Amino acid sequence: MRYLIIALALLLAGCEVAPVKDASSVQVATKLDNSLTLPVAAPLAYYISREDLQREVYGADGYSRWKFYPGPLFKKAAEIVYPDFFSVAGPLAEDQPFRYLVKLSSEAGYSNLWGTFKVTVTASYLDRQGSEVFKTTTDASVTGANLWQEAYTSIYAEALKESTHRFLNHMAGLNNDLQQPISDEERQTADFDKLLGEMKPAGNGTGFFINSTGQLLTAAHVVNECLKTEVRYHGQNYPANRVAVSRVLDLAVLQADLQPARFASIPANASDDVALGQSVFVTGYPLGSIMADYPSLTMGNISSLGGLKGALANLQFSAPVQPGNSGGPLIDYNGNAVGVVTSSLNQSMMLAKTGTTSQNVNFAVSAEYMRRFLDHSHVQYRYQPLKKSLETASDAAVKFTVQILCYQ
Amino acid sequence: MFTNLIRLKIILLLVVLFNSSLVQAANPSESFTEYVHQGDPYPPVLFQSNIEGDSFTEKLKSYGAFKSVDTDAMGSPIGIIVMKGLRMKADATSFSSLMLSAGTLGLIPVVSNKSFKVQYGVFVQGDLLSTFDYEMTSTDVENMWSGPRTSEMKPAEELFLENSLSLFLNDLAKDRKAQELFREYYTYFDR
Repeated sequence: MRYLIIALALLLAGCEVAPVKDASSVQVATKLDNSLTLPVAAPLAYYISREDLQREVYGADGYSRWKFYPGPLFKKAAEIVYPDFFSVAGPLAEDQPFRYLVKLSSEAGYSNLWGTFKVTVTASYLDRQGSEVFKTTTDASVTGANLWQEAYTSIYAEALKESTHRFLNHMAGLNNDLQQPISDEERQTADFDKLLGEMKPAGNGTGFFINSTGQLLTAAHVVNECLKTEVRYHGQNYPANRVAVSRVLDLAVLQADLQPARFASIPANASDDVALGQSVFVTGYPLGSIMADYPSLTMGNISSLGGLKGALANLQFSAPVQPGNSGGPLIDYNGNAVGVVTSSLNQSMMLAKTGTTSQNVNFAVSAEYMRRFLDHSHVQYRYQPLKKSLETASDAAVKFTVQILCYQ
Repeated sequence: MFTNLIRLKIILLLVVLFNSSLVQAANPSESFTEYVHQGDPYPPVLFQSNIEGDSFTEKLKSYGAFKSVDTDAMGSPIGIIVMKGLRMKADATSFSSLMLSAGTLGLIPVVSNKSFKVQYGVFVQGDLLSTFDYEMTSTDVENMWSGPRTSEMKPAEELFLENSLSLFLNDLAKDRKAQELFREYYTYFDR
């Protein structure tokens, strides 16, 4: 009886799940090979699929009384664990050097009988050619944690650390290139199709050509999270790389390997910029997953030469836009791209604050800040206005407006 | 007599657990450096928090670290969000204290360790750029029959909250991503 009480007390005393700050505080079963010096020089990239990041877990047998979102915590655990083992470690990206790529997938669950959080993580380690060099599956669980966020983070960290120990021990027993410094080849962008298999676009936006070399302007948030970006032009997909990005302005320049038949004219100075009330139109690819493969056009006017309070680079226009229009051109009747579509007023916020919704309150980065961004990034553009006519301007616009496909 | 011996051992065990966890929860003493801003102010920011009243916002403004701190500037590309929170730690102190309190029908108050956390987030165009977390352990003595404290701050927590501003601004000055963002802002906008 006394031992039962002691055991119960110790069990409950250990209920507190401390937040994981680094890998050293995580206990795992497999000991690391003594011959390894941490962090190893070999760079590592890790990949967690979009489905895993957006997973929801329900407690109580399908009732939504407990609903957890472990995906971001899976990513957080990877950010905590891997830098302790690899001198260079980060999520798979165009500019992320790696010798090995670890593809991670997981199953997460919750048992409401004992309040147990559990995960099973499968880690497949690939070389740059896409050949699998090691694969392992690890489990971790914790019971009675106070906060589900800390519970999932700690068990994901445990599972990832265990899998990393197994991988490093395996590699130490083989060729042991772990301590060789990063090579130039490992800094090059890898073939993501070879590594990840055929990917479907996770999202889409709009961009427009700004010169004859195949450079496009779009909104940064269209391409920020993309592993791979493509431009759809005349029914074909072309890879596109990021040349310049401004997070502050929400603008990006992409380079596609093609020479467009037409590109947008951009006003050269403030005297050529739009005026309040001026008629404009927007071309783009809204609702790309359900709409036909042809640009749409909506019309409106410049509602204000400013944006929301604090937005110095924006102007407001009334042409209707939908998700997918982001990054597209705002065009005047001389065919000049006078803005880049970036956002709409948040309807939920309007309803909550004022009890009513707004109509056609949309924002674009103004031509002045487009010029500042392009000049700072040393990207060429030209001012070549057309004769003022909606038909002429729209005919030109659909030729230089393209759909941008984002793969994650 | 045998039963009384078991009871005594249980109580002693609870007291030992209580004290060991309480000692573990004691906040380590930290040296604190008041922040003094150097150079030009950082860009204007949208500021949001779940901290009641204006004194916290005014204290942030008093450092002169930002060109402006505005709670209404929804269009600002850079934002700072501050969240404070309090949660009970499910550790041996609360368990043993609850057992002792229950055993005396609430005559002995419940002592619990609580984690008081302040989190600062720096955002750019709605995307999270960096977070800075500051945490202290706060011990509460409460009656078993009354509900737990959820929102009122104790003087020590108020002081910790105020001091966390200096900690945040010192850490912000060393954060590479945030400093690059601020430099980029002034590439395009006038100081």
